[in-house]
Amino acid sequence: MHIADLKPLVPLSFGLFGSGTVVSIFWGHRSNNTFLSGVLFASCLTLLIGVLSSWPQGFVNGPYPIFLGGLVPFAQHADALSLFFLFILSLVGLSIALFSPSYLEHFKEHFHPGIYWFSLFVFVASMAQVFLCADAISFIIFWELMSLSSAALVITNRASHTAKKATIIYLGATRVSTTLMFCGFLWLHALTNSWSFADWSTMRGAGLLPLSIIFAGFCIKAGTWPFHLWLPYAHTEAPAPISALMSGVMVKVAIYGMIRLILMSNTASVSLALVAIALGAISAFWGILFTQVEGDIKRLLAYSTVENIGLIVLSIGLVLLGKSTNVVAISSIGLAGCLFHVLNHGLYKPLLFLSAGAVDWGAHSRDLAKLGGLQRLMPWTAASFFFGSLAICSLPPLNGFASKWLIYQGLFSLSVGSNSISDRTMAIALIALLSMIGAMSVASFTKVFGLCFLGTPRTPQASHAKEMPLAALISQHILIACCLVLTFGAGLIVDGFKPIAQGVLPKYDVPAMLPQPQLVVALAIPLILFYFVLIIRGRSNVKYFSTWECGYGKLPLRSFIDAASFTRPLASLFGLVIQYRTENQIQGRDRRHFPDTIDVKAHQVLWVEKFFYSPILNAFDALGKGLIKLQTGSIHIHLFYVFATLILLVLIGTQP
Amino acid sequence: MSLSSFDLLLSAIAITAIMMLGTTNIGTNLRLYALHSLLIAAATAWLGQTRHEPALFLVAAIFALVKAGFVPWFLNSIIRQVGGHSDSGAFIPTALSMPVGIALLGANNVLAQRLPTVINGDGGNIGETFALSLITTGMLLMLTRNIAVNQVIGFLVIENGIYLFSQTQTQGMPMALEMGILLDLLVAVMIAGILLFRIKKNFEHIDISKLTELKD
Repeated sequence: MHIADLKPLVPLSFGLFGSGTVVSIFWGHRSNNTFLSGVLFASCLTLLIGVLSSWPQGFVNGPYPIFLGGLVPFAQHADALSLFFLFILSLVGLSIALFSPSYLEHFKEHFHPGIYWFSLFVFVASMAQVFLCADAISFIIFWELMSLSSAALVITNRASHTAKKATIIYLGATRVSTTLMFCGFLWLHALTNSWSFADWSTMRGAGLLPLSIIFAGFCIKAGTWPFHLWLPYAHTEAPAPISALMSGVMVKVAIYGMIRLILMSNTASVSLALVAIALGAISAFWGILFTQVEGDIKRLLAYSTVENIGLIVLSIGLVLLGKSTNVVAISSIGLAGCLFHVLNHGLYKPLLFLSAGAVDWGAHSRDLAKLGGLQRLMPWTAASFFFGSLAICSLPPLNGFASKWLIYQGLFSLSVGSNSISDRTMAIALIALLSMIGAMSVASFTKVFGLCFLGTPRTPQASHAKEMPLAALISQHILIACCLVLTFGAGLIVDGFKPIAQGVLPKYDVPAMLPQPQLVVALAIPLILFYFVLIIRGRSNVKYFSTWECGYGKLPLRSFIDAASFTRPLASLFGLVIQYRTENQIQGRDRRHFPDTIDVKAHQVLWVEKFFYSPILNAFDALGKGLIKLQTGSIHIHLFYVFATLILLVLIGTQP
Repeated sequence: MSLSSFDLLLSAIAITAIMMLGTTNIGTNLRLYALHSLLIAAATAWLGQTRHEPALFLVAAIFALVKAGFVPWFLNSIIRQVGGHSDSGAFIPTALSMPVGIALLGANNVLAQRLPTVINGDGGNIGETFALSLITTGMLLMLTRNIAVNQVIGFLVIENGIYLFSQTQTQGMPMALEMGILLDLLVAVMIAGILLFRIKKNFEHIDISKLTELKD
């Protein structure tokens, strides 16, 4: 049997998703989580095999007359780009299917399994179908299904007020995003008289404005600055598997849209490229800056997603710049960097979210101040979080390094290959910014790992933490294994992007070297030598102290180093942006030497929220309060409104 | 400008409507409404004569039966049961609302010139003015009265204006449609009657200026 014969597994996986949906509608409240996870696992596995067997030619199924009695053709068009994103989706789907059953015990009291599983199946299936749509109407239908079902999943914990607030903010963001996309789609339809993406891509020049509107819509969904607001809320409140799916795959759907509609069209403009680069750079910087001050693991990971999405959007900007100035090297490296970073982030971010979920499950807290010392209690989770941190900090030789290296290479080739002096300056400035971002991400993940897993437990909850069951650990190890494969096969992966690049660029040629295997060897030798030195010297000279006492002897738990200790120096360095303040209140009769209580509170002014979103929301509020005066309650006045409108319309509609 | 006798009939219709603005007694109002509807039925019959459409005679007959007969009788009987024979008026004094109605008749003449005339002949521009004036008079009646029965009458006057407009300015609507509208109107008036009973039962009055709780 030839591998290409397995192509029909993709539609079969949709059938499995559908059956999962039906089961969770009718028997969701009675069936157990393990069974439904099994269905999800089976469907994701089928999808994965189907995707691998159809790589890279793709397939076309349909069109089937489903919507509006056949008015809108519904079909599955898979090309290399769709298959690439489906591959990430199916891998993340596999791991969350393994992770979910034991994790959901955590939410047992406040969650309805029927609604959760129904939304999850709809979410995964619609996300998979979004990648397979070739026309705007079905794209927007499945996009909406994806957005709404994910909103339903964010509010899984129905008792929580913060979850409600998060859902409202997330829903608001998706509404604005869809509106912008729809405006752009309608405009493009008016220009080309077609809904098909293929027809849109042949347009030149005229399509720039609608494409910019669509780009703005995608930016909101992807969570770039200044639209990143919803990410920290939604990712924090959603259950860990959902955060993994949203952060790992759903925000990439917007990236997919950008590649499909903007990179694959003939409308390449320098201004759009510069906007993308600027937005990407600001989001990367902004996201990593806010990870410094966050004390909640999942919120921190959400800000880190903002950073990574920023890098991806920046590399999309590089591709656009290379396309519009006809420099093959820049656009090729940019595209390879973009796709590789999408792949990497789609694997290690779910890994980190799942590990964070395991910490939440085991220690019943996501607050770094209440954790600590989990390495001894949850060694496997600690190991996978450590691996994920290494990868996300792009430390060589892991896969994160490979993709960031490509983005650096793109900027290097821009700084030497471009003719305009402003482009060169920008490239050099961006290289400096990226290296700062890299250093800051190491700082923030050191903070998380140190406070969460090292030291001694700071609360009784943390000291009673326990490791998750085997399936949940395996789910994380699947992702680790994938990251390792990417690490060693980095060069092959970059070559493997060739079928995708064919649709985007006239010529795909990545001159950058990816010395992953050599790097592994080079880094492994000193480590092995160090290990042997330790063995030879024996353990005779090793002294034992209690952890993190810094020479002061045993510290009481309350005076331990916590998140704020890490935060202060960086926060004061970037005080203008972060606006992080601590207030000390010392009380007692003899305050100076023998205080009764010392109260330290840290608070933070969120800049974008305060100066960008609050005025808009307040304006709407004021408008609403003004308009409500029109509603007097008097029947006479209301009749008068009706008649006045009628007469006004007659006057407008008639010519003298 | 000289008026034909048909135009005079139309003007009489408008004048009876404006006279309704000048009374406070609801019983008088209903009698004026019956007269007004009767005149419209007559105008319909006239049009049937000039256009040689015998169907219009039937429409006129049923129109007179329903609007000049049943509806005033029905509303009058409701008034007798619910109470409230006279209406003090809202916003502007009753005495002033009649001159306002006359001024609006002039304004409607301006509006009528802006509207395209569909057919020339009977009615025409001046007929348009009178038909529109019925609509504005009905609006004024609804806006300046307190007792809920007057809102029903105002609505009926507006409806008559629309009917007159369609008869004089177009070739008339199909017979089935006319009958359907009359039936709808009958049902609307009966529902309004039931609602008046309910309002009276719940609030002990039918003064709409006191019903101001429809707001946040």
